[in-house]
Amino acid sequence: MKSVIKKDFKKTVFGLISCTFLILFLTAMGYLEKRYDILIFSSLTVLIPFINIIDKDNNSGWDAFSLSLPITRKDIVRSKYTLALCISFYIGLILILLGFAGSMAFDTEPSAIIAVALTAYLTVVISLSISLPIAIGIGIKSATPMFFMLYVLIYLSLTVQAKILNPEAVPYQNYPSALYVSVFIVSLVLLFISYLITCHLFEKRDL
Amino acid sequence: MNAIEMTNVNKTLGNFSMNNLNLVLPTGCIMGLVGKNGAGKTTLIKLILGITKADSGDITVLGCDIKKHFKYTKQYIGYVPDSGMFDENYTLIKINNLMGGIYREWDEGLFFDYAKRFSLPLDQKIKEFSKGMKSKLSIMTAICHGAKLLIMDEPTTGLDPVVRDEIVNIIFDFTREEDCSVLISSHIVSDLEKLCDYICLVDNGSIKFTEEKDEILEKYAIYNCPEDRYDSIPKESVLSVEDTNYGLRLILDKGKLGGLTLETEKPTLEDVIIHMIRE
Repeated sequence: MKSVIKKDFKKTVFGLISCTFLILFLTAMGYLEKRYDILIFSSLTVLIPFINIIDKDNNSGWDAFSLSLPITRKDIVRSKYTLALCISFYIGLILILLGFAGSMAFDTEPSAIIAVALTAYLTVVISLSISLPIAIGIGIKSATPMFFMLYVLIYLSLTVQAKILNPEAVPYQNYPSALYVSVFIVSLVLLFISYLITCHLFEKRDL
Repeated sequence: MNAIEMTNVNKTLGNFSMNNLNLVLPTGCIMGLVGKNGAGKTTLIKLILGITKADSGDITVLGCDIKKHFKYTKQYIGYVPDSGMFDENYTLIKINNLMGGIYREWDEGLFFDYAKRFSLPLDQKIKEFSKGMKSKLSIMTAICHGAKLLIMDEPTTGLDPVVRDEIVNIIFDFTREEDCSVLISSHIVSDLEKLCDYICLVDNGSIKFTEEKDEILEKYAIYNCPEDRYDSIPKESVLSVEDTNYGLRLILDKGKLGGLTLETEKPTLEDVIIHMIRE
């Protein structure tokens, strides 16, 4: 299984680096325009290289071929979720660092920025938790319309959030650190539930 | 021990179903799968490999139940799919590293030896390979991990005769070891005639027959029949009639000639298979 994870990591690295620069650019724009929703929306870009890997594996024939190798279906799902977990941690870390940098540059309260970063992180985790069972469990071709729906839903939810997340009225800034720990635990639980669903769907899928 | 044993396997995929599949490939033998497009050859292969799961029935590969000993069995199976298997941006070096991490007995030396033998460049991306090069890569990937069973889905389709001959030679090399077996699906019956000990005809989701190639060739005969002699031939022995410029060309079942002696020719496997598929 390690070599499959390594394969996926190597394929994602370039895309992730490109997306990090995109996030940096969009976040800077967000700070300048006082639109923190852009920060949340930009964080979704990390899904692109990830979904791209699933798409490539499907189109290149690797998906079906990998099942002829000494790798179980669970191993395949596990490798994708390991990568998903790493991506969500990576984006969380990047956003928190950006939050601190932004608060220093624009003289804003750090906890407010961290709250925004945390919301963005949770949005990524929710998106991954929904999209992975569709992409791996059902198959990317039939999942494409679902992705569009998912993005539209997230965009709509962001426009609502944008009204809440302005520098003057950040709802989470005075919350205790226990909230942040809870959000972190919730994200792990979400991914775990999503993993179980994907395993169940992928076990039944004929490639 | 048999290399493959399928007993009463059933599978439904949408409108298409494969019913009551029974197949035995003895160890050390080569079996050719023939049938029309869409007959179910690829599905049959995928069922054996566990890529597609059977609704019912038992599948044993190399003496092990494929469901119970999934990882162990797969260590000794080499699969050559009909389409691609790796990301087109991969090079042979990357493939070697990837497969080395997956198979316990991956033979790096053998892989690079084959690459040299087939003149496959190590640092060139697969997308720049020709179709023949890709086929050779698929086969060398399938046999460099101590495989005991090679399953190939149309490996020679679309290749020129020289590359096809090279691939046939690789398969012969592979079966030099007594315990190595091959299941190969192909539309090129002349390749199967060179290679196979057994022929399995798949039609419309079921296995019509599995017979030894020599028995098939022994059973039938070709008779170039003058038109005025046609009436004297027992009709139950005539499998097919082709009207040619030189008279009628009949494929006959020798067992049903009822003692009639004719100057017949030995048919090619292609003659018989085409007739059977049409029938």
